[in-house]
Amino acid sequence: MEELKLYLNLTHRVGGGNLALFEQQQDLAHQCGLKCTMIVGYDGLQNPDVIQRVKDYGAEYKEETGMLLSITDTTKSFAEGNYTFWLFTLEEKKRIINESMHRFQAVFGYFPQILTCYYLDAPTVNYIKQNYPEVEAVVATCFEEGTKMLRGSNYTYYLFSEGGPWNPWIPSRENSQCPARDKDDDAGVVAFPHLSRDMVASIEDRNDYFASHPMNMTRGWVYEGKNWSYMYNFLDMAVRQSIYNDGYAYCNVYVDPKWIAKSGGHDDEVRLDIYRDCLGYLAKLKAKGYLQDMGMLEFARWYRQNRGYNKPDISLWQDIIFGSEKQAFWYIDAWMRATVDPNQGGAVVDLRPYVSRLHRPVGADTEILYDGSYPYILHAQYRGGWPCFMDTKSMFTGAITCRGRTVLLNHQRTQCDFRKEGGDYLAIMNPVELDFGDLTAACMTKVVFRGAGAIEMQRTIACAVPDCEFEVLDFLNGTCGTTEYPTDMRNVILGYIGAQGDNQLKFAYTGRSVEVPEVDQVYACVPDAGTRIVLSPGRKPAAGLVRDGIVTGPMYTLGIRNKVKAGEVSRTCLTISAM
Amino acid sequence: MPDDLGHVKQWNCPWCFARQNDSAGLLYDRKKSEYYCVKCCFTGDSAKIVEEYGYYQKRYRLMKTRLKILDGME
Repeated sequence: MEELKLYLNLTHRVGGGNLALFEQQQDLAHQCGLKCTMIVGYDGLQNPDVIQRVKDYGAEYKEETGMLLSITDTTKSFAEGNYTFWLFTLEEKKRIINESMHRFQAVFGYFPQILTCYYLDAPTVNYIKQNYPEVEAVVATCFEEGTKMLRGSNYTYYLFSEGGPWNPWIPSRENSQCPARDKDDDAGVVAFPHLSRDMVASIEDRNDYFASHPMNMTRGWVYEGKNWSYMYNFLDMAVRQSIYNDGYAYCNVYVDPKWIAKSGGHDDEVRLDIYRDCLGYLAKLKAKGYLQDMGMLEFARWYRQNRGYNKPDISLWQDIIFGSEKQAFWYIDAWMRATVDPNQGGAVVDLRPYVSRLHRPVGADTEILYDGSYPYILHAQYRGGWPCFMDTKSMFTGAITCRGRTVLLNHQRTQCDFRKEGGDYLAIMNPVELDFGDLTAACMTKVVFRGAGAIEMQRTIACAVPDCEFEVLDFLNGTCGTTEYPTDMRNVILGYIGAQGDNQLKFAYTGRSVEVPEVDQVYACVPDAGTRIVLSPGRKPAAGLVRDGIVTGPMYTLGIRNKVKAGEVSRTCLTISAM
Repeated sequence: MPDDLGHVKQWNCPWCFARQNDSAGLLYDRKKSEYYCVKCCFTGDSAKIVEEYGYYQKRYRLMKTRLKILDGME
C-alpha cells in the first residue's frame, strides 16, 4: 500500500484590528511545530504593528505571506458598493487588485505570490497572472457552497461555487472552476478551495459545519461539552483519501483570528480549546508520518511537479457523523466532475461537464451576477418530479428485468470500493440481491471512468439458473441548472442514431417517448450546458429509448436496453463532449 | 435570560437552525423575559433553546464516538 500522506496548509489571516488574537494563533501553531501561511488583509497593510509582526514571523519561522483580496475601503462603510470582492465589476476588481498589490509591495518590498478570496472567476485570475506573474497560488472556491449557503445565511451570503473542485487544481483559463487540460489551458496558478469539506455532508446540505475549520463545527453543534470527536474523525478521514490518490491527500485549515475569541455565543468556553486541540492533533498526525505541513506557495510548486494536469482526484468518504454507513464517491478530471452514490446502487447522482468550459464570469457587470456555480447535467438532489421515468430522480442508473419483473438498481443500497486499472478509475459496488419473485440473482455494478468525458456502466449478473436472460436498462434522467429550481429546457434537442439515420425531437414538455429496437446511440444536446450527452451500447443489437420531460418532471430520459445472460457483462457508455 | 449585568446571549433560532439556517438571530423581549424569532414562531428562554438544539443533535449519532479510521490514531 502507498504511504498515507495528508498535505496540510495551515493558514492564519490577520487584519488591522486582531493582531493579539493572530499572535495567539501563530504561537499555538509554532508550539506544535506546524508551519503556517500568513494572509494579510488590506486593513492590516495600514497597520505598522501588524506589518512588523508578520515580517518577524516570516523571518523567524521561514513562513510565507500572502494577501486577502477584499475591499480597499478601510472605513467599513462599504462605500465601494459591494462587500465581497468577487461581485464587483471587472474594472473595480482590477482597481482593487492594483491598489492592494502595490500597497503590499510598498510595505513588504515584493508582490505577494499568494492571494486568497472565497471565489475568483477566470477573467480575474487571468488579469492577476497577466499583470502580476509572481502570483502562483490563489484561493478561488468554496466547495459546494451555493443555494444551501444562501438559504443557510438567511439570504445574506451570495457565494455560489457549487460544481467546483474539492482539492487544489490548476485552473482553466476559460473557467476557473474547471481543471486545466494542458499547458495552453493553464491559467498559470494553482487554485485552492477555501477549507476542506466532509464529502458525504456536502451532498446533503450546507457543508461549512462539517469542514476543516474546527470552530465551524460548533456552529453546527457537532460537539457536546468537551467532546468534539468529529474533528479527529474528520482529519483521519481526510488522511485516508491518500489511499485512492497515489499517496496524496490534501487539507486546508484556514482560520480567521476572530474564531478563537469569545463572541457571546454558546461555544464561547470551547472555541480556543478546540483550536488548540486541532493543532495538537495535526502535530500528532505529523509525528506519526501521516501529515506534511507546507506553505501554500511551497505546496503549489509541489502540486505542479507531482500532480499537474490530467491526474484525476478521487474521494471515497464514509459517513462519520450520522451513523448511516453511507459512502460518497467523487471523481474529477479536466472533462468532468461526477458523484456516485453507493446508497443508490452506484447511480451517478451529480455530473458537471467541464468539457464545455462555459464562460461564466461573476460580478455586477455580468449576465449571471452572482451565480458562479458550474452547471450540472444531472443532479439527484435538485431534480425530481412526478410522474417521471421509473419514478426516479435526475441520475444515471439502471433497472433489470427478468420473468416479467423489474428491479430498480437505485433502490438497492450497497457499499463501494475503488480500483485503478490501467488508465481507468473504477468505483466498484458490492453485489446487490435482485428479487424476481421465483428467481433470485445478484448484480455487481462497476462505474468506470475512462477519461476524456466517458463513463462506462458495467453490470454483471450472477444467477443459479443457467442461460437465464436479463434485460438491463441503463438510463439517464438529464436536466440542466445550477440551483434547485427548474430551468427552461425547451432548447434541448433529443435524438437517436441507428440504421434509419439521425432522428431528432425537441424537448417540449410533452412526456412522449420513443422506443427504437436497434440504435447506435441516443443523445441530448443541452445548449445551456454547452454539452452533447450520448448513451451508447457496449454490444449490439441494443434497443434505445428517448423520452421528453413534463413540467412537473423537467428531465429528459435517454436509455439503452442490453440483453445479457448470467455471467455476461452488460455495458453502456455515457460520453459527454462540447457542442 | 440576561446575566447579572443585563446582557442577553447571542442565540440563533433553533427551529430555523433545523432548516439549516444559522443566521436567524433571536431577539430578546425584556417584558416577557423570553427570546423570539422574527422568521418563525419560536419563543423561549435559554434552557428551551438549548433543549431544542439537543433534539437537533440527536441526528449526529457518531458525534461523540471516536472512530478507528487510521492505525495508531484512535
